[in-house]
Amino acid sequence: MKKLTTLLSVLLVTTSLTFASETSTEAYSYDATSDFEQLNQIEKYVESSGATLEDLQATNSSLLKDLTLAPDSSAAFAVDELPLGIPAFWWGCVLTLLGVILVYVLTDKDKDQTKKALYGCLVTGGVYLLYIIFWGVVFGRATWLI
Amino acid sequence: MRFLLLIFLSFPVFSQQFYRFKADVSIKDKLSDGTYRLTMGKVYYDKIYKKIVYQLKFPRQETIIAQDTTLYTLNKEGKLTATTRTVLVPEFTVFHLALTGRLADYGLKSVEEKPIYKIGKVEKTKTGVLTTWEPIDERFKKVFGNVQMHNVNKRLDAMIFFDKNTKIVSRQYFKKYTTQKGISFPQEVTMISYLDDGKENIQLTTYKNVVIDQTTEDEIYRYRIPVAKPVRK
Repeated sequence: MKKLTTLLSVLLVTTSLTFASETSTEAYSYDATSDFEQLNQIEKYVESSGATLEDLQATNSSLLKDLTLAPDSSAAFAVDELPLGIPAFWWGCVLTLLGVILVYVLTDKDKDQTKKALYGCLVTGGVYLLYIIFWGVVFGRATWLI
Repeated sequence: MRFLLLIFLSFPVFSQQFYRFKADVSIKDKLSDGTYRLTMGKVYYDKIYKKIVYQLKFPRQETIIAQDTTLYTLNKEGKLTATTRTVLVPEFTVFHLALTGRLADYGLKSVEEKPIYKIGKVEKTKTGVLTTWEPIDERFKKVFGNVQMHNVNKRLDAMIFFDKNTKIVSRQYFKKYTTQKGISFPQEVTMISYLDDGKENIQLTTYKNVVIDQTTEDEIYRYRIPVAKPVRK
């Protein structure tokens, strides 16, 4: 009976912990309608007419009034900086040689960034070397004692 | 009879493999400097070729292909006009994740490769489940921050990305799911990126007329990039 009571108590505690923190869902939704009212109107017009930006500009369309529309769409996909804004050094330090290669490719052969990634790679390599030497010394002494 | 049953039961069960995604796409950007961008067209993705092809009609007619961290831009005549670097990794696009059934956890629960993240905390919310993913070891913690993932009815609903200093760098929302051939796909994806100066960029991508495993238009899915020097637009 005592064991059953203990078991039930544990189950109740764990259950209450699982449901204890109810987090607000406001952080998990966003209504972008008001941000893009004018773009929505342009979108509707383009879908029905097939017009390009050049066509709208040529006709001085009122759809573009008070709006600065970027002409280059590839910029929506291209990135100048490294992924996640992570400095080149850490790419080399965490991913070693792969990180250096990635930095070289992603920064379009930027020598400065690649050098930083290489230093990161060397730091990791140096740490590993010290690690191996340390354990070599420890085990070397241990086998000598045996 | 028992022998036949044994043979049938011993055959491996093959889950259906989906490999192609196509949709009408509209990308709206509101940038921190006050400018806007509108990109409209169709997107094609083939999981085997790992090539994302955008055939655009606005702001102008052109084709943009993302392959091997490079973005190729072709004019309406099919001539190469520009190449730029991109961090668009096909395996981490919503298309690939949806086709491979990994969109629910954004591919963080990787099976084949060495994982970077592990589940740290799971909480119940009013509408779903909130999972906090943490970098799996100290090396990654020096570089990557946590990721919070909100799931509703087992579908990815929202994500919040933190940097290593627990500052929010990005939020993404996945709404208005549609189901085609058993694949659930969000027709609205909103991304808010927070810059160092406190400003933000907002991007709203909408997908319509989603088609899974289209058997026609092969030449677009495997679009052959012309080998030539970039020409003027």
